[in-house]
Amino acid sequence: MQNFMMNLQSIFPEVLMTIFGLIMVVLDVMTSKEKKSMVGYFGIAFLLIVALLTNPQLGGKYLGFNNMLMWDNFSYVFFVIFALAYTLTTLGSVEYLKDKGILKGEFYTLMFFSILGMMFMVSAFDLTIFYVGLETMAIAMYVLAGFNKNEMRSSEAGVKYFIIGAFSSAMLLFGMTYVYGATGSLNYIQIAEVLKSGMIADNMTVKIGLILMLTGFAFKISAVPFHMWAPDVYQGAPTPAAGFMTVAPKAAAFAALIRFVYIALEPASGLWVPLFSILAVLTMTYGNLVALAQTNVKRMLAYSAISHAGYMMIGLVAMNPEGYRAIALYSLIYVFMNIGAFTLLGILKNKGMVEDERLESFSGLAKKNPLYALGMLIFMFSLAGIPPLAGFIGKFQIFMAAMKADMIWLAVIGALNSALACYYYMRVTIYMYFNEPEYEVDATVGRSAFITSFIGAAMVLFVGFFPAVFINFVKHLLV
Amino acid sequence: MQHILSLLIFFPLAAALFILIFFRKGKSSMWAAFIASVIEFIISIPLMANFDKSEAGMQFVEKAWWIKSIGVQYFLGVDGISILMVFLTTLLTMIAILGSFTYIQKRQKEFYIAMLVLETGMIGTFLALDFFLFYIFWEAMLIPMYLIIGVWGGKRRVYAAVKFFIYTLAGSVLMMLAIIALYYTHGQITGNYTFDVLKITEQYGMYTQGFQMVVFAVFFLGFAIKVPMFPLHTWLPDAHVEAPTAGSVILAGVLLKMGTYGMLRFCLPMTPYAAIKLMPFVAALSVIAIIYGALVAMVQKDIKKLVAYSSVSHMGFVTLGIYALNQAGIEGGILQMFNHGIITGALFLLIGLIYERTHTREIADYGGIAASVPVYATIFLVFTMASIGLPSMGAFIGEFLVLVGAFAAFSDWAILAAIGVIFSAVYMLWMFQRVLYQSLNKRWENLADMNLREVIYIFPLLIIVFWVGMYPETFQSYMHASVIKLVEHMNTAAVAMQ
Repeated sequence: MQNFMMNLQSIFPEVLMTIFGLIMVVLDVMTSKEKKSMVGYFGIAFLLIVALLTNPQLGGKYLGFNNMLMWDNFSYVFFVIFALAYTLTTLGSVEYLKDKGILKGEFYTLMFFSILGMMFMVSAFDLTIFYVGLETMAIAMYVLAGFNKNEMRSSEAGVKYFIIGAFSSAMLLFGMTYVYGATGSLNYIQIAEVLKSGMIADNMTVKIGLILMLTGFAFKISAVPFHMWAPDVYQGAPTPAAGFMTVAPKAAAFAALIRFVYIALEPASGLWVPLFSILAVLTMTYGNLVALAQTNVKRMLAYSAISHAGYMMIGLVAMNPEGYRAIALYSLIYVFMNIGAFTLLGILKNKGMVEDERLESFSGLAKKNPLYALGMLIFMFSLAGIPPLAGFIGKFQIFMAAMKADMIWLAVIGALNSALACYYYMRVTIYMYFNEPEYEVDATVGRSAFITSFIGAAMVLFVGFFPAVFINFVKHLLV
Repeated sequence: MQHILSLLIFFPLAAALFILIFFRKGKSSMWAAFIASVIEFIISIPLMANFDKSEAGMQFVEKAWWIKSIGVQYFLGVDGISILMVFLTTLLTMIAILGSFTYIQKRQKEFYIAMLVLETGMIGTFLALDFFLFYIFWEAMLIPMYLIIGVWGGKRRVYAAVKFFIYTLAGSVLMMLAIIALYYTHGQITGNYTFDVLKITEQYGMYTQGFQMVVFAVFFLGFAIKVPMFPLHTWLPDAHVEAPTAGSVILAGVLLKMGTYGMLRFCLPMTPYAAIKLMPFVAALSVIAIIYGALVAMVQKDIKKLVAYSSVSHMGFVTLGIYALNQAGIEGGILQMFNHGIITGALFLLIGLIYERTHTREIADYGGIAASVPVYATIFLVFTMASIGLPSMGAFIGEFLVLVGAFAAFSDWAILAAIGVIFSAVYMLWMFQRVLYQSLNKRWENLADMNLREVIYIFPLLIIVFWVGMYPETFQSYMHASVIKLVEHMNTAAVAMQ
């Protein structure tokens, strides 16, 4: 009986999510065509309920189903990150989708179910569970990327994402079979035990398997050189979906990766730490250098998302609790600044305040619409990591973790990269503030989109001034 | 009096928010910002009056947890080294705002908001005693200054603003890592993980020589860019020339001082081994800056650029004095920081107000304007002389003390530095002659002289220049105790080294 209760508690949040998700499907059918946004708003309410009901007590761990599924603080914090991403995206998307004529309930249902997949990914203590979660998330994401089927770019993004996603999933799966073959288990804890016994330390099978798996992961977190899909997908996808995709799936992939490498591969750290250190350097540097050359703001943000994955990887290879806490904090902050930036970008473009996403069209935005320009300025400087904005707090924690692990060289490269990155974020502000407008435009922006960017900007400022709130939220995390 | 430092930091920010929300028109927000800056200046007066000059340590200390889990405090305090800088900041901000009334014609409201936010950042930097807090203020200052240069600047403003930003940022990101390294090293030694500047400084004896060298080098780089020291000064002429008058005043008057302040507060006491070892190296760089800055200033065609290069030269004196590591040198350095802020600030204001009338800064375009603007010419002459270091005026005392200190520490470099004083007479007097004397350029026959507002904002600076020149003790008395303590600290460290 006790066993049953434990199992139930470990899967309770996912069960709740499934039920609510199904309710959303029903709601979608019941609402009229103009009121599809209600589906999205209900989703927010559902997420709030789940968040309130499933908060594990401090240090509470519910490990169920023969050590396959874990609900603890770690899972919960990442769930909150996904929920916030959903909330902000939903609020910001209604107007965008309406303008594009694709306001459908599926948009929200898919996002909702993708969160279910992410929860399984993060909670998994077993590779099968992880894989099922990954696919649940990924399939929803493919559809979201190609959601605007009237637009070539969006469809292209969907197909591209699907093909590369399927390819990387296959690679992951292929690697898993090798690991299973060598260790005889799919469970993280048991894999760790087998690896720890040292019997197969030099076993080629395990090495090949792990490298394949890690490559699959690298695809998912868009680490260079496995990033080729990311810019096209982020640029092509409907802007709110792109904002969501740069944040939530990435956070989920990082969280799952953290669980996997810190628990299962802890004994094999000699293998993956150098590998990911190199990837981190490549990802940061490449992402930043290419972003420098972009003239399209959306594409620039896509490359900036790649470089941010690079910073987060520093936290991963630090191999200490500070490292993954920093990643959680970073993801949390990233939700506000990146979705805020994407939402602003989406509404600015749709309302014709910027003609397209070219840098030049941002000229003189500060004159045309001072409030939105100020919002964009805050997001840009926060992404660049300039204090007192939230982005700095995240970066600072990442670098602290690296310094604690004595990975000074990595911290130095990261710091120099963030100075380099500053330029392309600044360039947006240059156009907005220092140049004269190219043309006049008179537009009003609806309430919901305004609220999203306002929440984002306010949170970025708030966390900058009172970082303790967020830091305390993640400080007890343990994998 | 308990929270006077917090009040000083956050009053301008609150005023900026107030203006942002409640004011619509440029004119009214201009007056509101001016009143706010006057109030801010008035707040700094009781701070000066109640400052205990015999106390060497921190005063008016405020301490509270900010991020407890990683040991970050909201920790403020003022001592003899920083108090003059705070006074300088509140004074110059007030004057710079008054000086922008007619200069700033577009987006006035935003300009004054940026100025007030900038003031918060500057005062915070001087008062913060927690590394994390210090770093936040240090960087946060960049954004308003970047906007001030970029939006209200001259023709090449974008280039100048970006250069200013990237230079300073590149210097300070590595500083962030050095701060983290200090945090962990100090934590490992004492078991107390904190960003407290005073506590980290206390343990200087425990840091290995190699570690001190690295930390010193990184901090020094960050501060030297800000000062700016040769060869990291290239951002300065661009930023100065393109910035609006108020921006130049604040940049020269306060922002440059942050570099030297940082050296005094962090580089010397925290890593004394490295500071003592590298003393000759820094002295050499300072002397190069003094002479190089002066030589380059000589050949400038643009008045503002000339004054900008003269800043490089004058700040060379400050660093020379600081790294002499004796009482005369350091006091001279601090006094010179103060003087330079006042004098160069005044010079930029004077250049700005004539630029408003003529719309040119080319020296060749002027000539003989003393005939049409006698009041202006007189005041300009006073500040030119002050800048050269004429006795009875501020800069003389500062430079004299610096040279006294430098002679004791490294006499060869001091001799070379003294030559720099002569050069400064050459470029300043030559410029003055070409602009105000010689035959009158017909274009400027009807040039309007300074009006009442302009006289009012120059006047306090005029008084201070003579005050420091005649009776420097008023200002020096603030720093004696703290400087003696710092020098003793360095001597103890030097003894321990042997």
